[in-house]
Amino acid sequence: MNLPKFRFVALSVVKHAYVPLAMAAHPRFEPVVVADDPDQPGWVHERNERFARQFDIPYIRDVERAIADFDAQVAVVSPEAERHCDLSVRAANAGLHIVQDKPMSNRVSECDRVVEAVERNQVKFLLWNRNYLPALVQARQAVESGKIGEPYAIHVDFYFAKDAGPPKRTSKPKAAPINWLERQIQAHSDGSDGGVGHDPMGELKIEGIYPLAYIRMLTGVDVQRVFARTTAHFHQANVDNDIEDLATVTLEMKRGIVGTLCIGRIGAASHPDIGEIKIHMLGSEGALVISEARPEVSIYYRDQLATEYPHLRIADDNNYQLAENLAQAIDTDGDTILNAQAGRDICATAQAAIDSGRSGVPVDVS
Amino acid sequence: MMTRLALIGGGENAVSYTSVAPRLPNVAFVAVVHPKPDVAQRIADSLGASITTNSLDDLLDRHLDAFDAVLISESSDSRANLAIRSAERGKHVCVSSPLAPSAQIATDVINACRFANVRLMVAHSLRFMPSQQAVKSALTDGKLGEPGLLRMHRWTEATGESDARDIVMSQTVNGIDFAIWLFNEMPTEVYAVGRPDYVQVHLGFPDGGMALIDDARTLPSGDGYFSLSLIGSTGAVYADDHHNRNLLFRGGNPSAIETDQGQFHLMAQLQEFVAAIEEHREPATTGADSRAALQVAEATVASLQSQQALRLVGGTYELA
Repeated sequence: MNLPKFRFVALSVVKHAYVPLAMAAHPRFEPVVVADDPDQPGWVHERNERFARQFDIPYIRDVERAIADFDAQVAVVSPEAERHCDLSVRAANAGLHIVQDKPMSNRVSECDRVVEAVERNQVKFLLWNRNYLPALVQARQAVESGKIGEPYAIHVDFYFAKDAGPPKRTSKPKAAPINWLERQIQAHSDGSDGGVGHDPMGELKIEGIYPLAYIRMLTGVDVQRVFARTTAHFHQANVDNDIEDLATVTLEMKRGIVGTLCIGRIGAASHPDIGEIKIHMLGSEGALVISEARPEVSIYYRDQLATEYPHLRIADDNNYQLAENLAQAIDTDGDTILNAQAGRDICATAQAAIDSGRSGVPVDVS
Repeated sequence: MMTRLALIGGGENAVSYTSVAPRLPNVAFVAVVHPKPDVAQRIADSLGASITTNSLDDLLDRHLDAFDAVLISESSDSRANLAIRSAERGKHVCVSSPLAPSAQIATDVINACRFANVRLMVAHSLRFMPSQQAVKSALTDGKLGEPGLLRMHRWTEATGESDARDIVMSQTVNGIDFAIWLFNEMPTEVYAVGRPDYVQVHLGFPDGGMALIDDARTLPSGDGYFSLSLIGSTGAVYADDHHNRNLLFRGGNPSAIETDQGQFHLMAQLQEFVAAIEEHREPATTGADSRAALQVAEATVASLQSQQALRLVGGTYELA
């Protein structure tokens, strides 16, 4: 069957470009233009232009004009985190379906704007996630088929074994605090710029979406209350900007389900690969222990670069399946695997955890 | 110097001592106390002990000069009383963890042993397991930097009757002890959630350290599961049953079979206890350690009941 293609506008491509690249790789999506606001700084325009050149498409410094002139049906939104929601709202108001990079936002109120705009304009919204990794698909199948009975507890470890600039306590006396945005721009080359934006963000905001999306998918319930510990344990940039790079969160969810999240940017020395990412799940009839990295192949050889992960993830179909998920949602007027409301609730959970970490008391997720 | 031991009780370690005893040349098991004579005799035969009795009182009254120290492997409710009575008669004491059903009673045991000038060691098996010894060594050797996050899962099969308080005071308390041992200080924050057969504890330590421990008694009949990871400022360790399991194929899905860590932890415990006696020093795992863990365990129970976090204020835990 020859299904129609969706033309997409890439609204700002300032991070790794993995989201627009993934969408462009799917046969049903076609990039037709890159767009951004004219008052953006030079480094933003530079990255946008680079992506446009890669696909031989125009770069238009006017978001609304690009949407109007290029007959796009989908917006792929990946600017700095604090601009995510605003661009998504503008795309929704123009009637475009949306694929948005994580985090959904650094503010819950911005997420609320997206939820409202998506609902009002009756468009589809997909927040980028990792729920289609092979191990997650396997976990979901095991849970949904009742292999562990009724789930009652879930624990996720989500460590990124990446460095993030100078280690903690290595700055010289009287040295100026590390500027967050400058550090993120510099980090673009090694891919550790997940928190790119003007406002500093800790790991709960930058990466929390992934494990919290796992928890939501596998339990099917919302988080209601959290208790958290947060600290800047590894990186001077996090110390200087008063944001966490290590956190633990107790989660209390609907139906009496409980859980925990361990999350951190723990440094490249702490794991041979991208980091230990595991799911432990308990149910009334059994339990499940899942390594997110599997299946993988181990590759070791002489003169291997220290920056090369020796364990290669294989059969990763996440990008294709996410794009396919959006296409099907549009085709069938169905829902996506992580819609705007779910993304908003995850953002609220991360914010409640940050608040709990600062106050030392449990915090309700609102 | 030979240290002569009396084994009190027929706990799970009783049979295990059989394989350990021949490997400790400076240790002799000389007596076994068990309320059932046939069980006492069977254990004594396996350990090469010549004395069997059905009570500690009988042992102390009739064979006081025949032994130097007691290994108390009884239920947690009776351990403290047995330890105090042994100490009062001048016997060194090694008792299973937890030392007592409460921090207050643990204090009574500590005071009794101090007054009698005998050694008191609490056998925290978790600390002496080969995998945890490796974790601790990596930390003390400076490979991991400052400890930041300890994660521990311990899942066992369902027992039919469970009570969250009982899980905390008998099982989670050992994980708490391990966390205090690694961070080398008391947690300043305690928060816990759970249900009758499951508990998860969240501890906060000074300078940002944190620990998550969960204990489940809900697995189907069969093997349990243990997993531990410690994230430090310059490195991390992962001690995990998931990693340490092999596969057995007998049709259908293969079984995962655990690789056994043997009885090294028992041997290490006994060696340490005997060395502390011989060298007239405190053992590596003291009564004070166990009391500290019990204090945090009691705060954990209070958190479960109140559904609030507790904070360490002036040496006691209060609602935050």
